[in-house]
Amino acid sequence: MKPGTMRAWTKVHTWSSLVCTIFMFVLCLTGLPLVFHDEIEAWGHDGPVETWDPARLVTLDAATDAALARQPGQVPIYLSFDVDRPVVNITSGPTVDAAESAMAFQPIDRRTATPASGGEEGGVMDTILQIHTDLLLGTGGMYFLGAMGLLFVVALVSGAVIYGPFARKAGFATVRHAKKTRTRWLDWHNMIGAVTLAWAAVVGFTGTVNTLSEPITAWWRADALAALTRGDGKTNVAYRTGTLGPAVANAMAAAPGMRPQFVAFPGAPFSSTDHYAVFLQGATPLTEKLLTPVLVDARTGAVDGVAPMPWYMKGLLLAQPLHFGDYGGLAMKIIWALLDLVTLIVLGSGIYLYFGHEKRRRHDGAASEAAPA
Amino acid sequence: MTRHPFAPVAVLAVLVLAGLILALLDEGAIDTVANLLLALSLVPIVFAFRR
Repeated sequence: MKPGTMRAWTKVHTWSSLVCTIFMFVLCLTGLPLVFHDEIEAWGHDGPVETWDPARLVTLDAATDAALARQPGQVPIYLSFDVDRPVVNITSGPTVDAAESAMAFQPIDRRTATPASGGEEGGVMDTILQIHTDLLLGTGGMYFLGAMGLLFVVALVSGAVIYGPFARKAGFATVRHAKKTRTRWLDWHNMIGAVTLAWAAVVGFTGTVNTLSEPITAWWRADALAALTRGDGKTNVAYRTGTLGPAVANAMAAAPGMRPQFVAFPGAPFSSTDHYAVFLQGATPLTEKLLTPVLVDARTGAVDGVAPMPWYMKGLLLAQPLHFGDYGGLAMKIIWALLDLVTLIVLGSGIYLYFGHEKRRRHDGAASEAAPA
Repeated sequence: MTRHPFAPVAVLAVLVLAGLILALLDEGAIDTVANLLLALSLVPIVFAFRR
């Protein structure tokens, strides 16, 4: 590589890293407990495995009505299903397109049509997730972190480019233990950065994709769902009790072997103005994540379409597990956490190397000015 | 034949990506293979630390 090209890549690496490092620190630190959020949330809640008779559960409509009775004046937006207990989680709001901050989340036990545990908000894990998602700054903070994720990927690529000539001289994964402190940290920085390149690039890129979930979903709604919309596309069909249960049953009959993961009510971001969008999932980790939406007419209960997700929605859905590392069991979570920790070392050593270099440059500059001509 | 200095990094990256994707496909034995491929990233670090 020509010296000029190398200098240019080094500049790209330095500045892309410097801008994003402090935010990457925050994301790595908050991401660490989030990797184990299932285990942390289950901690202290070990009870017997729940059993229930499906025939004795209240209908989905009755559960929705029970939730709405506790939030007068609100309309249902989403309904999701717990896997390990007969609980549905109803998200409601003043309007079906309400902002997330105005939404209420209520788990309802279908054995009794009463509130179940799990609806508490504002815990430590919620705050950590919010910092990790948007730095507590809302949508603007989320897009900002998405931009930082892209800069992180640029830093990784440019770091890999300038690592090549170094590896040719020193050898792959070499740390010169006998050299001075700065050289040792440079070697650790280069080595860890190189061997974790693929993982860090995947986590950084999928993090950026996740920050774009709102515009991607809006695009999907305008692109794929618009063709199925029957009304004027502006007036939402209001929820009527008695229509939800049959809609979910019809959706499941249209896609045998799949189970419902969540339902978006008419007008919700994941549905059209006149459909229940019933999102079904398969049995393998892949088909569990790649949801299949079945659009059911909210007026008649007829299935209007089973629509496999377009590529960009599949990408968005796969970006979530690939970012959080929660799809390969506890072993994967532990490896994820270790990779997160070594990434902190790369970030810290990068800052140390930059400021060490700057200090030496200033010192050399001052010495040459003081030297007699 | 001279080996490109970036070759080990590229091989490691391909194996790790394979692990990340394999774990999405199925559970059980494939999960174990996927986790082992992902853990390969940490092996050079452990070796460098112990050297």
